[in-house]
Amino acid sequence: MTTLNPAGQPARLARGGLVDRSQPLRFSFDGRELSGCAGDTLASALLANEIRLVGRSFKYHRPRGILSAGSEEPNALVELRNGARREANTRATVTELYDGLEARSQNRWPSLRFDARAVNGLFAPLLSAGFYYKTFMWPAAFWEKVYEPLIRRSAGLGSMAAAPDPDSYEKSSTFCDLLVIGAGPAGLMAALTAARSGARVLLADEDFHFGGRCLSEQREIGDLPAHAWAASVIAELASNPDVRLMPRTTVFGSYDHGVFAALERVNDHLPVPPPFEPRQRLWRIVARRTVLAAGAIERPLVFGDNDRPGIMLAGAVRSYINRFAVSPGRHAVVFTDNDDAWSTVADLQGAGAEVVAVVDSRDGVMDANRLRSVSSTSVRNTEAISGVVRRALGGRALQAVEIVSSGGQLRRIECDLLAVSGGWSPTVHLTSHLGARPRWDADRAIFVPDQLPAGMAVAGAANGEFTTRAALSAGYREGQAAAQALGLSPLQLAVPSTPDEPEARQALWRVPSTRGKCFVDFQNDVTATDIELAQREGFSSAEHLKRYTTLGMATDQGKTSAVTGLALLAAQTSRPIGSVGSTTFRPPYTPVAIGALAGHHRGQEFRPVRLPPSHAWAKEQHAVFAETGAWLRAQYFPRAGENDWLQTTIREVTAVRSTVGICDVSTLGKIELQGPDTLQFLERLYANGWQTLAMGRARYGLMLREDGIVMDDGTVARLADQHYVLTTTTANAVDVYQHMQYCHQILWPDLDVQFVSVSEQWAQFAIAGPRARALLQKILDPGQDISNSAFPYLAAANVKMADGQHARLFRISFSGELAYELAVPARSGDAVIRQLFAAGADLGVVAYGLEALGVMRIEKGHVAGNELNGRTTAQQLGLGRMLSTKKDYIGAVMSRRSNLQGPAGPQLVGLKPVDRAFRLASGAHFLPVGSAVTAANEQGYVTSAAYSPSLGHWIGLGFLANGSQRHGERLRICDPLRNRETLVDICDPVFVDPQGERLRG
Amino acid sequence: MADADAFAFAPGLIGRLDGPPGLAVREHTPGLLASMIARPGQTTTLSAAAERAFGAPLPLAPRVASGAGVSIIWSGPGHWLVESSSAAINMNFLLTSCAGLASVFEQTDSRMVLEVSGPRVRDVLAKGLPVDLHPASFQVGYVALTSASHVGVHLWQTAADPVYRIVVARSFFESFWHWLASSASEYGCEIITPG
Amino acid sequence: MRIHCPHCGPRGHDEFTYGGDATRRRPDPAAPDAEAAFCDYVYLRDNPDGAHRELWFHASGCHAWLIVERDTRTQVIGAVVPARSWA
Repeated sequence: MTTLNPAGQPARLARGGLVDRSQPLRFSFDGRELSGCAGDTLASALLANEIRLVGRSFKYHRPRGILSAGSEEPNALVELRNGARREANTRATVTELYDGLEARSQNRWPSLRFDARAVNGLFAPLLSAGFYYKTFMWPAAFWEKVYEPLIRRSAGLGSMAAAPDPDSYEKSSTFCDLLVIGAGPAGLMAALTAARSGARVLLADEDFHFGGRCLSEQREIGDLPAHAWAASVIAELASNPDVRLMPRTTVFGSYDHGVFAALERVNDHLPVPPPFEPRQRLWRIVARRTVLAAGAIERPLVFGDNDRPGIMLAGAVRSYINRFAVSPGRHAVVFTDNDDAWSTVADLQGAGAEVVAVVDSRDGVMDANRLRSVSSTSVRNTEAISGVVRRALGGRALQAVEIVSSGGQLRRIECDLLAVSGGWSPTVHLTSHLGARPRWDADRAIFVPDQLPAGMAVAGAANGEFTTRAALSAGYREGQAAAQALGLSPLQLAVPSTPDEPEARQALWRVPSTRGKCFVDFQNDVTATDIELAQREGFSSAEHLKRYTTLGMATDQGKTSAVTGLALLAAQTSRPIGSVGSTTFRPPYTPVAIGALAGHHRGQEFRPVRLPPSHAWAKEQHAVFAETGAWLRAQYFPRAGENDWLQTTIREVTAVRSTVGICDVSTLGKIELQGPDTLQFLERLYANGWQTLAMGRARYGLMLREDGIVMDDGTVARLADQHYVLTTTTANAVDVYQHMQYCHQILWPDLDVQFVSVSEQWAQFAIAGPRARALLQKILDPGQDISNSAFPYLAAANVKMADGQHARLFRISFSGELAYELAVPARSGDAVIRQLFAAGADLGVVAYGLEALGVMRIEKGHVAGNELNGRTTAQQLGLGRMLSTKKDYIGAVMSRRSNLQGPAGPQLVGLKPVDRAFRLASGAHFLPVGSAVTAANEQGYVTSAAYSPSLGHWIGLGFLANGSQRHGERLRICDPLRNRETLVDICDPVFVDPQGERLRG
Repeated sequence: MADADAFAFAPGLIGRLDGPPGLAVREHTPGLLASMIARPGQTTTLSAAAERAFGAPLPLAPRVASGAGVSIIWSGPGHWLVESSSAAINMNFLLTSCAGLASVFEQTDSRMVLEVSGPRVRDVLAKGLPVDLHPASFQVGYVALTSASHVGVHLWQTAADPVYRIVVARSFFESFWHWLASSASEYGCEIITPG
Repeated sequence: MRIHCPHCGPRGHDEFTYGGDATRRRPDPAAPDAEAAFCDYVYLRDNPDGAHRELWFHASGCHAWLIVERDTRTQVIGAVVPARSWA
């Protein structure tokens, strides 16, 4: 590390810090070309360039600077990157600087220095607490057209990129014995202790540089500078193969049973991720034990115009000086209510800044002895004032502060930096994601963890153990405890020594008698007055206060404001803070991009897709595909000259009904059953009987749920004495299998039946149409007799193909034509469908898809998903006669309930439009002709509709009250959603070949 | 998001090319896959029969037992997947050896079997597989039934290097492969010609 | 949430599907009050605040139906056993 002060970085210190001055990085802010160093954040680089005005506030467009040096930052939000990678509301304080970084301030127009909308500040009375709820309420019509666009334009932060994110994200899982969250002194000590004891340790920290406050404080640990001690521990951990170090990783959520969610910013520190690498990775961490060592967040103080650029948390001032080698100001005042901030004085002086005054709000601190004892070095040229800062002066930059001494004397001190400290709040968020609330420690004015999730311990500042010495001891303590709990022998370690620190504090929640706006929540522009107003208007619980004032909302979720807000609410209602409660902490701790939550599953990979065996062939045939559940199925097979799906579908249906067609039906669920009690099992599973099902035969089966509603339908074929195969609908395959496992494992474990899904084993093709048999005969072994007498309707058999391959053949028809389903081993599916089309060319074979399948089943009145909708009974579907009265089966008792029996209930009917040219659509409601369109007059609805090439007009199926007795009746159907209506004639639901002559032919 | 067409399952390299591939993938084509489900009360007898027939007893926990040219992979309580590359151990042999003790269902065509290895194999699998494959938890002969990136998988470890076999339903293979290939592309992925 | 499958070991809850109250028993369909008993069985559920025995199906794993003792307030999971015994 050189000691040069890099050119163009006027506030960069000549020596010290953890930045690499030999590696300058170029970046731009609002178009201005600047330079920083490797190891900088965007915030430290801006400060190195003496840029302190960084953004405009949410509501009032007030100029804002950099408040913090961490993820709690409420003010310094910028737009990062460009084009499709533009990212709004990025915190400059955690943005790792890279060469070529482009950032812009946001929420300002036309420029950051001059923001025309800062006049919002003048209308501040209109924008007070709850302004959304009261100011713009009337007239109602104005909301959408006037108020909302107005507010949206002027309030709000950055803008999103409009183009799709070009980067990739992914998810990953990892497991560990001990998860340590936070790599400060406590976390490092815990990780070291557990790792040396033999535990698998995962150490995660949101920062790109491990060490926590070790990097930011002038302090020695075990005779080394704190950052060097941290580096030595990290080096040891890195060399341990059972330790995983995860920098740039925020553990943002805690879930039941030791599960944590974390976001790793794999490549956010580069302009563009390297090829094949993700930008971010979402981790699911499963940990047997956890040590939360997340540190603490310093609280700002509440006084007049306390948001001016140049007002910074005291701990952040020390971070910028000690870690980033930047002096955030030249003439500083320190304003504190605690001992800790006093160490800022020496650090500022060491950085060459003049510390004009230290203002301490506590009574009796300012006697000379006390002053010496709290200051780690002699306080040179610095005036110590017992009193408060009443108000900050200056607009875009701090110019002076007004101080009221404890004697009541008002003074004005010129300065460009005010370091403030209202004490530190433990970062307890992850202790309470599962619902536990932290406990208020009134003596120290902090929330401390109370009930912890099982397996979690808290160490260091997150547990209120603020001094470095206490943090190191706590880390050791919890590292040992974790090793013990993991069944390891905890290793004895010497906790390194470090000087003690004074830590007295006496919370100053609000400076009395201020002038100007006193901000509590900087990000949401919520002031102390807003909190008072909300309370006066009745919003006196912590949760109501949050909703009404927006305190603690948005990207920072109140990290710097929540405790102060509660304290002010408590003070106003004269209640102790502990009884006001706290708002609930929920994941995520810091914002997480939606892309990271989606991971691999975007676009085509949104969810896994199942491809049937004929997929490659269908693609070659230019099929149009449709997603049905997880499956991608051919919807129709357009040919040159066909204009739309309907024309294609009509051709496909016509061909099936006149020659032969082939459809891949491999997507049906197929479950094979064996064992002596299989028949008994089927009897109990299905509503219809199976005793008479002979070997080599198949039968339609209806499955009910226990509540008597139809669950699924399909066929069962008996291949051998104790060997059956059943089919389920494509949609219900998974549910039926699970249901069968339920029945077998829980209801009837005594049945000797074995079954397994063979859906993936078989490619299954429906071959339908008058020439189906002729086609099959060409590809089956010539010795295989499939004549109508040898292989009649509902026959099932193992067959041999002409090439010797074994297959299964079922004479089953969904289309109503002479039809077969041929099942071949899945790997042969592609070859067999090609074979079928080659063999069928002279028979006029066509491929047909889901559309044609749907048309033909409607023509035949077969129910499908639209009718088997989980609300219909067998009686309503016209299948009541299938229900066995001779046995118990799932749903038997409930399907016999008297109120499901009567004629008044809906029953399946067919319908034809009186105007034969009318295009029917499902969803329309049946109404008596001439009646008003009201719910009271509704008599049922249309479930399915299709153009029937066989009839030459549109037809439909529907459920109509007492429908089976109303064939021939004329009704009105209304579709209020599409604003269409017409008259229909009710008819039998079977439109084509009602006697079933074709399928038996 | 990676272009799906960039992930054709064909011999060659996918993803990062500078350096040795982090993942090697080979399709394994078994001669036979079959589901074997014990009949009630027959597990002990079946195990003895299996030991006689295959030279390996039935694993009663998530483990794989291997005999000459055959692996018996635990698939749930009372349920095994038999993977055979031996011509002698075919469906007829299974049906005969297990007669009266178990029901056997042929599954040879139902699944794709991949063998995955390479220095980054665990890192790749962690991107979708929610199971701890660290040697402290998962070793040679261990079996996991789970899902990877929303696709059901059956996985077992065959060598300490480590090498894993992954079995995936045939219809899901393309989606599964897109996930595996895109997860591996960061480290480079070599698809080895089956052999 | 993690459920310790007695066959497969601890797994994330997303591998399981929920099957409801494990203590209900399918009534005797031949009993004279079968319809009322089935109505209770099908529709009426206790929603206990605290200890609960419930069914979970290890859908992505071993396909076993499991009886899981779970405290609905604390999410603490006690014993997990198969709903049936395999032998």
